[in-house]
Parts: sequence; structure tokens; C-alpha cells
Amino acid sequence: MPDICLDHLEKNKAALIHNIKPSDCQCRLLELGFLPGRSVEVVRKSPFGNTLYVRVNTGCIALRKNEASCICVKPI
Amino acid sequence: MDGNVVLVGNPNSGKSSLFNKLTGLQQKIGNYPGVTVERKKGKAKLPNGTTIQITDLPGAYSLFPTTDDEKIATREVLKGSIHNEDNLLVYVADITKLEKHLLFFSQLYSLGKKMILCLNMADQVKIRLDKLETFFQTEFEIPVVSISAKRGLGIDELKKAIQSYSQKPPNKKIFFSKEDILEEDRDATEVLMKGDTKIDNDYLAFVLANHAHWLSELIPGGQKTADVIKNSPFNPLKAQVQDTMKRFSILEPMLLKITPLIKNNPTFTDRLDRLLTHRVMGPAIFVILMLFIFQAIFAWAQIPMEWIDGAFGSLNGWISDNFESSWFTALLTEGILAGIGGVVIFIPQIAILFFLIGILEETGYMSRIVFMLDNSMQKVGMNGRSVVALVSGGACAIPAIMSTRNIAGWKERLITIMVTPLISCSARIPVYALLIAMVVPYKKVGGIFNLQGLSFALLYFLGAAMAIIIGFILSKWIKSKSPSFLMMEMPDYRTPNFRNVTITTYNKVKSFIVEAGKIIFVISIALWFMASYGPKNAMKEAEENAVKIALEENLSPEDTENLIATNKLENSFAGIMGKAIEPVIRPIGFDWKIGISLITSFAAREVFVGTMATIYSVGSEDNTEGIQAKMENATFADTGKKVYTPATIWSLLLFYAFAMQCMSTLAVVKKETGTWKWPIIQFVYLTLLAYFSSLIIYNILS
Repeated sequence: MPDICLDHLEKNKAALIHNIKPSDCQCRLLELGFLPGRSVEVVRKSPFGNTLYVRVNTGCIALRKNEASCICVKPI
Repeated sequence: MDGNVVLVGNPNSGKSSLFNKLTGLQQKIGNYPGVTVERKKGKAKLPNGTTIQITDLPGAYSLFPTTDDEKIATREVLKGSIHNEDNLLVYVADITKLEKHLLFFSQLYSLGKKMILCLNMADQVKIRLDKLETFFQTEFEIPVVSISAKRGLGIDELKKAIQSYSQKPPNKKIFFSKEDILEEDRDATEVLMKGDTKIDNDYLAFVLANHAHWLSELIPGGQKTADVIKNSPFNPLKAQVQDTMKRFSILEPMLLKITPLIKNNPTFTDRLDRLLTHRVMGPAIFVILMLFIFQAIFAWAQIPMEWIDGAFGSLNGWISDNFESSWFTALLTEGILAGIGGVVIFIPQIAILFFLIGILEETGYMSRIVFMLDNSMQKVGMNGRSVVALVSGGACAIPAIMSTRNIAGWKERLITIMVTPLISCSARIPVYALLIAMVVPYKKVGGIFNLQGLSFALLYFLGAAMAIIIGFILSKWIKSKSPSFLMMEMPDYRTPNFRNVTITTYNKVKSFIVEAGKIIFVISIALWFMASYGPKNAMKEAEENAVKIALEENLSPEDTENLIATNKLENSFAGIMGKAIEPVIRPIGFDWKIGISLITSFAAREVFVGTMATIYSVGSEDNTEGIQAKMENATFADTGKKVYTPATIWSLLLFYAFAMQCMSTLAVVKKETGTWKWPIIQFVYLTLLAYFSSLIIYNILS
């Protein structure tokens, strides 16, 4: 399957992180545990759907859509 | 160990709990100069009796900051390194989150600082802690202590480790060596280590090169060096990613050896979040919680506030009963005691709000609020946490503005502070009640609603709507110092630690009394002086006149007193000012008597009613019907037309809904933003907003 951005990943679908696009938030995303090779999942979306509740490894992170779009994932 | 102890670590690592455990009430909470980040220092006693100074730095994920809090943490760490301060870093890491929390640790480790690794939440895992400690001790060659800050476990061991710290700073090149610096970045780091500088650590030079543009005051050669680095091929974003990836590639295999030992159990958090962040149920539960908070500071605080009011009343009474009345007793009762009372009266609301917010923060629910509301609040320049402040503003702006402390972004925090006074607070209720009763008939509409109640609701709605509009405008106008991110960890739900919450609440109340209290006290004495004193001759004449009229008209002693008070207020400095501003407020339908009330209201909005009572010689401010009757008959001195037409009353209502008429709020804004700039801007914009809204409504209605 081709790479997609995390904000386009369906809810509750597991994926592997492929890479983080160079951007202002690239380093912080790595620091929060979005490392290439780790599994990631969108657990739920905020009431208006613009904020994502994401599980990576064992931790949960809240991301804005534009932040999630920096994360390229491969659905599995 | 005689230097400072500095607590560092990620947000949510339990650093603050540890700080509270170590220092108890021996804390000094202030601000870092120029920013609104909290500076926390405290004193702790070691087993051998010596006292050490402990600083709790703001939580940070790494030395590459994205928020103001993290920038301060980075700056303080780097400053200590450059000046070779003899600090001992106590790095606090959550034992269940080591895969994230050791990154920042590894960076500080590379700086070659004296360090203790402190593994917090040790009670959350079922493993042999001694094995884990030994593992890290051999890897890093520094002391390792496992603790539970919440339960108070391992604190003594930590204190002993601090006391007996004798090692040299670590010198192992585990995570970083000179060769890790990319070819194109070499020049930028070397310029910092050349010549007469104290920087001899490669990693320190590398990190400084990343921050040269905003930390030029720290680096040798200052702005000049920063420019050299800027013009070199050095690419900070790329370098930071490279450094971070390298560190994880070393940490991951290291942690694989031990993490099988650590199992945390997130199912409880998962299940709770399924409900609490549910698309429909989540916001519904949030609304209920906010109503609860509102109720708590609105209604429950009333009881202790009445005690305080009562206590000051009796003290006042006791003084006037037992001492001859003189200028001094007047100063004591109406000036000083009223001033202190005006500060103390806010304590119940502040304490209750911070206690409740403390619980929301400690349990981890606050992060869920931010998650749910981030997008909507982002559009008006605010943050999910702002909602808590705005809701609290419905009771009182003072605790609400103080609660913005935990909004991470400077811009979002400032906007929240700027618009909170627009939310109608409880002090406006007596004013609204008096005025609405004069202009809106008590009539049922649609079977269930009362027209007066609807007018109340309309004013509340106008305030809230204006807060959103102004927030939107300010978000375009205020330039952000740093880009805004959400990217936020959702901490596991935990039971709150009441000791922690109580200490935070205590510190908030203390800082309010010390910092804002001074200003409130001084202004209330000034206001009292202005309302009770005036040019000597005029005041004397006013009193004689009142006595003469009273004799002529054969008034009762009580009415005579009231008339004297009226005449005196009219000729006092406040009266003179009220008359002086009449030309300005006449276009919005106000006479000089309202002008006096606007000035005295600055002590607190509800003072409007009391001043009206004095101006119209009604005596007691509880006699609202009497005040109302007098006001309804009042006329302009020159034209003889009625003052309180519906146009004037609605104009006055709008003025009270929007204007910044609360010195206590201004004092708190000054305290929270650290400068007089923002309270002044706030005062000016709210006054203009109030004036022009009143002008428009007055002209439409008259």
C-alpha cells in the first residue's frame, strides 16, 4: 500500500510510521515518540474532527490535523 | 554538595510533586523577567541539617524548545553550563515513560553536568527496582534513585544522594561526540569554541549554535557570533532531527534490555477516555463539570465571603463604637480596613477555583479539555484551557485571570487575559438588577420566561459574544513569538494528590495577596480619600448648607445625615472629577452623578449601588426601591429633562457590561503579565468599547 499522511488514516486502523516530513514540528514529533518503524493508530477525533487522538507505541498524543499531516504512514 | 539543586524533566514527569515534597511551604513563586513563565524556587533540609536551594525548572521535552516554558528551561540550563555554575541537576523521569523521558536526559548528560537520575512513579511498576537502578548506574555512572513523589517513597534516599554527591560530572561520550556534528555544521559550532571562551563542551557548542538567534546574549561575541552562525551553511532543523534520531537509536536498544520488565497498564485510561473524550458525551460531561465549577465559585464562595464581610463589618463597628470619631478612625475604618477587606474578600473564590483546577490538572482531565476544544478556541486565538478561565470569569475575573498560568502559549494566554473581563462577573449583578428593574417591566413572555430575566441573559450573552469577537480580532493583531502547536501528550488518568493541590492553592492565594493585594490596597485608599475629602472650604460650606436646609425643612436626624453625606460627596474630589467628565459622558446620556459612580465603581462594580444611595440621600444601599424611586425622578440640572430614560439606562447597562471598572482586575493583569503595558491597553480598549457601544445604543433609543 502507498504511503499516506496520518490525518488521512482511517480511525482504528493500524499503520507503521514511515517517516516524518521536514517541517517546524518534525523534531518535536520525533521527541514525542513518532519514530519511523513504530506502529500508530488514530483512536478518535475531536467533536469537530480537527484534532486527532493518536496512539503511538504505548503513549497517547493529541495532534492537530496539520501536525498529523507531517507523519507519513503505511497502513498494515 | 553546596551549589543549587535544579529539578529538570519532561512535562508530566511528576517534577512539581517532587518539588512540593522536598520544599513543602518553603517556596517562592515568581516570574522569569519579561515572560509569564513561573519561576519556582524553594528550600529543602538535608539529613545532615544543611539547607539547600532548589529550583524547579519548567517541564521540557528536549533542549530544542517549542513553547515559552521550554525556552526558559533551555536558557536556564545553558546559562548554568556557560557560566560553569555549580548546579546539581536532578533529572526526574516517569518510570513508565522512559522511552520518551530519557531523551532530554541524554541531552543534559552530553552537556557533562553533575546529575542524579530520579525514576519517579516507582510504585506504578512491579519490578526489582534495585536491578533497574544498578543498570542505569553502570550505563551512566551517576547516582540513580527511584522514588514516588506522590506517595513520598524514596525522598529520603534522594536527599541522601544529594547530600553525598561527590562524583565528577559524567564524561562518558554515550550519546554524542564531536564526529556527530555534520560537516556543514562544523563552522557554526567551532566559532563558539574558538579563542577566549569558556565553552569547552562540543555538545554545549552544538546546542548553542541552534539557539544563537534568540540567545545571543549568552554566547561569546554576542550578536556578531549569532550573525556568523546565521550566515554559515548550518541548518538547525536538520541538525536537531539528526541529533534526536541518533539519541533514540542508542536509547532504544538500551531500553529493550529493561522495558520487558516494565509493564504499565493503560486500559483504565483507555476505557475512561472512550467516555470522557467521546464526540457527544465528552463535551456534555465537560459542560456539566464547568457548571459545577461555576456553581462552586459563584455560590459556595458566597458563604465564606459573607463571613469575611461580616467580620470586617463588626471590626469596623467595634472601632467606631469604642473610639472617638476623628479623621484617624475614618482612615482606619473606611480607608485601611476597607482596603484590606477588598483584598481578603477574593480569597474564597481564588482558593476554590485553584483547588478545583488543581484536581483537573492532576487527574489528567485538563489535557482532554484541550484536546476537545483546541480547534474551536484556536479560531479565536485561544486554547482549550481558556474555556476554564472564561467560565470562571462568570463569577469573578480575578481568579479567572490567575488561572491562565497553565496556558502554554504566550499569545493564547494573553488573549484569554485580555477578554476575560468581558464575561459578566458577579459584581455586575447588583448593578444589572437595579437598572433592569427600572427599564424592563416584570412580565412573563412565552409562558415561562420573564422579561427581566431575559434582559439579564442578553447582557451575559453580549459579554460572551464580545469576548469571542475581541479574541478573534486580537489573534490577528498580536504577533506570536513562536508558532503555535498542539502536539500534546495525553497523560494517564491518576488520582489527584491533595497535598499537591493544597500547596498550589496556598501559593496562589499568597501570591495574590502579596502582589495584587498591594495595588488593590493603595488604590482603594486613594478612592476612599477622593470620595471623602475635597477642597477644605467647599467641603465645609457643603456641610453647613446641608445643615441649613435640614433645619429649614425640618428633617429628621437620619435624613440630615444623608443630606450631609450627599452634599459632601458632591464637593469631594470624586465629585469634582465626576463633574469634570460630564461633557465626555453627556453624549451617552450620563450626568455628573453617574460620573461620580463610574469613578467610585472602580473599587468594585457593585459600589455603584452604594454611591447612588449616597448621591440621592437614600441612606442605606439595601433600600434599592428607594434608590430606584429617586433615580426615576432625577433630572438634568440645565435642561430639566429626565436623566433615567430607557436610552440612558440601556446605555449605562452596556457600559457596565463592557467597561473595565475594576482596579483589582487591573492589578491582577499587571501581576500576571509582568508589565503595566497590558492592563493599560486593556483598560483603554474596554473603556472605548463601552463608550461607543453606549453611544450607539443611546442614540438609537433616544
